[in-house]
Amino acid sequence: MASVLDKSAIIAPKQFNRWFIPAAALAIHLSIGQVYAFSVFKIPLMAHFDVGEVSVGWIFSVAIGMLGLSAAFGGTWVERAGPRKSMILAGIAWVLGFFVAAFGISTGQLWLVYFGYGFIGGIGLGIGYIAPVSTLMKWFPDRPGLATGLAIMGFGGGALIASPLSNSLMALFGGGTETENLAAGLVPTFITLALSYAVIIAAGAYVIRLPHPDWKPEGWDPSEAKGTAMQTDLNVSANQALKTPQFWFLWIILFTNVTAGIGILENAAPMIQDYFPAVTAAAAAGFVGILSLANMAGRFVWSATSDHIGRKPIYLLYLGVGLVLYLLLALIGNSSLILFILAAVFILSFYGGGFSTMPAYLRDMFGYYQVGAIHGRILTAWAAAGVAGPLIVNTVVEAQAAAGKEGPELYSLSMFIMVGLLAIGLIANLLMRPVAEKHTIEHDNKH
Amino acid sequence: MSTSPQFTEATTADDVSNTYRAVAVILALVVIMGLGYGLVDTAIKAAALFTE
Repeated sequence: MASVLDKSAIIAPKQFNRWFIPAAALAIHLSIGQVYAFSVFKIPLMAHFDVGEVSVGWIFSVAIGMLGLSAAFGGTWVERAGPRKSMILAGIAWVLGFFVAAFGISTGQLWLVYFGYGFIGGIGLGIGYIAPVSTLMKWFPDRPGLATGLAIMGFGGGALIASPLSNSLMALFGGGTETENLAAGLVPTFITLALSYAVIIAAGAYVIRLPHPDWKPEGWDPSEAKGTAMQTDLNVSANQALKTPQFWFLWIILFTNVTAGIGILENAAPMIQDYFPAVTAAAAAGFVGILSLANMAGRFVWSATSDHIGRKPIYLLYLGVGLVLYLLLALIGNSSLILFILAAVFILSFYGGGFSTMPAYLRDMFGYYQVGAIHGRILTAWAAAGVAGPLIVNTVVEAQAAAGKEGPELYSLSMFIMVGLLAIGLIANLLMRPVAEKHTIEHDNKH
Repeated sequence: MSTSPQFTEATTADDVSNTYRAVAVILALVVIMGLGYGLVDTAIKAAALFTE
């Protein structure tokens, strides 16, 4: 039986202002983007459970792992169910995850926090991340990069909001800013965040609409838009996409670009202090703030730019210029603070841009048919990079420190590894060609 | 196929309801204010890099 959650219930009228839709997409991405602010709970959770950093760190790792898995395995369902049902499911999982975690904190059971925030909440992350993206691209066929940039910018923005908000809430509920106060404020903070996200995601699910079959952007002629060879007007299914080299080249591109970004993000604060000993702890925290802004701005600016210069050229920029900047950091990064900051800012903006441009690149290659499902599967590259990036950087830094090195020398080797990875990504991007017609559903229908 | 009122409203109406418009505008404002709060807070912290 049809319900208000079905695709058929959310077809917009022919005359509809498409600018309502980015707010709906941002609503869920800003909410689930909280996961990147999880570090604000680390010290209070460590104090509350009397455990070490690694034990608490697993909560975030489980959540990101579940993000990758649920996006990969849930993508086809998301395409079938439509954005409203997917957003509601994601919202329920995300909010339920907070409640279960809050129960775990109040009863002193850490495993419930892993299960709640990590496992259940992680499912909400994966489904919520891909739910509005293909819908937005259908509303902006003339500017798919801008559309995905708007939504995925929200994922970066979610942490910028949740980080200070969570600190303020913990201090308010706990009655102070000392660690024991913050720990005491954990449960009401989790419940407050959960209720806020429930309202915002529900509003987003109410506002989301699919375009009417006869709708197209005013003044946009689809026949004129079919000019570039790297943009198909055919469609490839998610299962068939896995059999194309293009999917795996894009997987490598995303993996290398994300790993390179994590190479800076993982150790940003200690890194700038090791390169420039005069930089204070507060200034180093400011550097992390600048990188967060660059990450978020890159998601919108570069993805929107890709609509004008093309997806392949913009990834040549991310990977090629990123490679040069990493080389500069490795070779002469300690010669100038401004050079160091600028290089890191651009690398992080490319990291953000790599995330947000990917759905538009997928649409160019595989069409609209199951682009959400294909996007979900390619996000496994993110999960893999989330493991590989910190592993490379931390292992190298520890090994260099054990060898008696200090300052910039701690990071040089990991930077050269990143240069090598970016070179592999660059080659994968150079190998990108339009998908062969034999893979398309139009070809299957003809035979 | 079912044709419940809420089902047909979205598919046949020429325009969206006032309720829809109000929720959409409020949501857009919440999103903009939230992003503004996050950006300003982060920019203040980031300024420490140049003032400390």
